[in-house]
Amino acid sequence: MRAGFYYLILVLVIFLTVSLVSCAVVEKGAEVLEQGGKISTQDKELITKTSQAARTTFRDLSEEEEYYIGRSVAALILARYKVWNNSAATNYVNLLTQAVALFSDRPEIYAGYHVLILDSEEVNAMAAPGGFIFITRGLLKTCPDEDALAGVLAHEIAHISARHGLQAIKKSRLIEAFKLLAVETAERLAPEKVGQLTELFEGALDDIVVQLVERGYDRQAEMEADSLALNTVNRAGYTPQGLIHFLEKLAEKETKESTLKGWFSTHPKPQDRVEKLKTQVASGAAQASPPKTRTARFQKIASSWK
Amino acid sequence: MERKFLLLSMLLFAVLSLSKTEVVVVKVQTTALRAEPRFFAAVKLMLKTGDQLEKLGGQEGWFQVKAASGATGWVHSSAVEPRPTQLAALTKGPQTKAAMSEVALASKGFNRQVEAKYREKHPELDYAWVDKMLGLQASAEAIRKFLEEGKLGEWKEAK
Repeated sequence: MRAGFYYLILVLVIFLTVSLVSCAVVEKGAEVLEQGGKISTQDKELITKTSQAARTTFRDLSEEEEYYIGRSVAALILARYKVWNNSAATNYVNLLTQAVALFSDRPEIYAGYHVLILDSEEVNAMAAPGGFIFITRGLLKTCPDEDALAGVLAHEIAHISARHGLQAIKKSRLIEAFKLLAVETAERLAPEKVGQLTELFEGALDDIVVQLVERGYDRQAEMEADSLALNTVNRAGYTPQGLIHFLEKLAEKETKESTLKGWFSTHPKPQDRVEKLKTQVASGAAQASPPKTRTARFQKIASSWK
Repeated sequence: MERKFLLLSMLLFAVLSLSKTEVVVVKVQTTALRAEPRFFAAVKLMLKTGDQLEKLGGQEGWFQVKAASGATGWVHSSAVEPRPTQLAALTKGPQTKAAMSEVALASKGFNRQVEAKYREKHPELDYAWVDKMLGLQASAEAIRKFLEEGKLGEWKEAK
């Protein structure tokens, strides 16, 4: 009886080993066969060095890293602008953003989506990686209704969900950082390595801030964000014309004031975006007007920033 | 003897199916295990970064999972990432996510430690508003009410 029990255990152990190994063999597939006789040493090396080869692009940054990059990008933006500290308006834009985000392609993000209003007359919005969104009072004034503001916020959420900000980081910087991190086997980095990594971190922040504040995203990224925003507001139940109305207002403003900064210098021409968006909104789509409750709550809060 | 053989085969089957379970890992700070695959469903328990969940099924952006405590429910797909087996990490290519999780779990990278060092170098930067900003979180109930009042989401008017 006892021998039978041991036999059972032995068979189980053998089977477990075989099944696990066979899983790996299946996954490794042809690559393993190619490696031929060298397999054991190669394996040993691969096990210890997996993380070295693993990370190469901005896509390989973890959610936590994206969050920490975003925090500092936010701090750098806040060094250039003053916060408009109006709690009713701030609570409203956060509620609106967090509601809209549920219908985006990335409803959940490391620490959530949050917005601050910047006390500036320039018409501008910026989205730092990790969910930190900034909109100016000037932009709020340009929005005729909640549907327009929802469209603008959906556009900023789209920049974050598509990780456009992280794409601005120079490739060489990332590769250097990943290499540095992969070589260390210990759980925590040695102090001198933290110093090197911090320099790379600083460089990455500058890359992103230059893109967000000075240069702006390229046309392709903006058009992608518009298109994703349109899907988001559609799913949420906002009128797809909201973002179009905002851009039309912007175009009006642009013709009136030729020296506007902000959105105008960092975004493609609003007229071009309107044209593109109009082709995406089904031509048969009804120009539904927002329900009264939505109009009323927007008008009430808008009086605070007018 | 025959019974023993039967028992053995059953055990082997159990082991075989065990080795095939798909595990996902929570990648956001916190997320809810919900009773149904929608955001306003009842919350069964809160999960945090690194929590491992056994994937049972899924539908449109949602995974049905079983938590370590044994509780089952739904998590949104944007809150988790796949976690392949250690051995799978041997291969290059699509398996790189495994290594990423390892790095993330060890918390090596652009993290709190690097931010602290950066702030030491830049005392002029003020993070007070950044921290305040993170506290600007509407409750699930407030968001639900906001959508209902605005005739949005599941409350949107039929066209």
